[in-house]
Amino acid sequence: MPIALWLASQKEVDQLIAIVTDDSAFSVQEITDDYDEFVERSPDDEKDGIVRIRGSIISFIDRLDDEFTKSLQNIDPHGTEYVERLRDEKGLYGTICRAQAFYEKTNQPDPLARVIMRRLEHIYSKVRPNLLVDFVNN
Amino acid sequence: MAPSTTLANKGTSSSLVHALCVQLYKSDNTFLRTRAMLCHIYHYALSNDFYTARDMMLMSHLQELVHNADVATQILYNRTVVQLGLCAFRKGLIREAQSTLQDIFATQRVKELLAQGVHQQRYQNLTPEQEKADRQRQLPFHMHINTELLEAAFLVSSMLVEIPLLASIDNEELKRKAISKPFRRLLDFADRQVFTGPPETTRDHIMQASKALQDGEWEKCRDLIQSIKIWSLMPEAQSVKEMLAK
Repeated sequence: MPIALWLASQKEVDQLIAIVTDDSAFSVQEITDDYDEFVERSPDDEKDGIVRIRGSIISFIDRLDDEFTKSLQNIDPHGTEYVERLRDEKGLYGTICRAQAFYEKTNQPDPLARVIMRRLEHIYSKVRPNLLVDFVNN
Repeated sequence: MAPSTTLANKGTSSSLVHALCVQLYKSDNTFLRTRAMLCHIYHYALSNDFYTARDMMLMSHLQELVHNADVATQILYNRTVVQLGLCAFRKGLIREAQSTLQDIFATQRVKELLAQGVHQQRYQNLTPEQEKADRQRQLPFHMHINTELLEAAFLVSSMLVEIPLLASIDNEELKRKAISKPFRRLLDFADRQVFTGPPETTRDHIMQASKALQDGEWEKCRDLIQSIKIWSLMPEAQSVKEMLAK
């Protein structure tokens, strides 16, 4: 996956997480009742006031993380390009943290565990995870 | 919006990792629990808490279970074992370091076990699919554990365990029972060399140091070990060097 494309998708996923975290009238779930993709829906029409959309944020996270690793595998680690690429880990880590917050808020234990694992894998081998500090400051 | 556990409310990275792991131990997914356990041990080893890390490793019975695990988890397990060995070495627990690293080095495929490169195998033909799978498993470079440093730690601890043992036995039968086979092999090879120039590689340094130690010249041995360049990559290099001098 080209890096520009990866950055664009990371931004999209970030936005998606921000929307579903802020607005509880919309929810993304892996299992939903059947609905017609082409019909515009609004919270007022739904029974309990929540529009449920089929999808999986954890798969987006998995995919982003895997693609990130893949691109690092294919860059010569002795060049500056590698370091440049490594900087994106900070953003990725932020996305993962926000996804964790989302799953905590909506109380979904299974994807929550998976997203925590992803987060842990970014920090377990670092003594002083600097990117954490940066995320908290933002 | 921030998740419930952040570095800010946990203070140090160790307590953050601890908090995240505890959250994962509560999950129903055994696969994730195993991985969380390994990451946790790895982090303890990294922060020089050898006894906690070792106790967790033994109490979790991962040694028996890891054979059935998937490849990625096995790699993580190997990384954890190696990190534990390095931790023991840094703490001056030479015997523990030697026995921990022993299993990994006995295979002579350290790089492969850590997913940091593939070994050329002459008599083994891999299908393109296998090769591709192998490549996909490789760790990105910034996660690598320096294998030269690892080897230095292993050989030095082997030397410190093995040479006094060699000196204490005069029975041929016992002599063949080496504690560390890879070290013995290297030592025998170094013995057969007709000419030994000044040491260049890390291995040369350690082999000459071993010989000096065999001859009872411990000061020469210490100087040779301390002049190995790779120590600079180890955290607290100075205290480790001092520990080795004792």
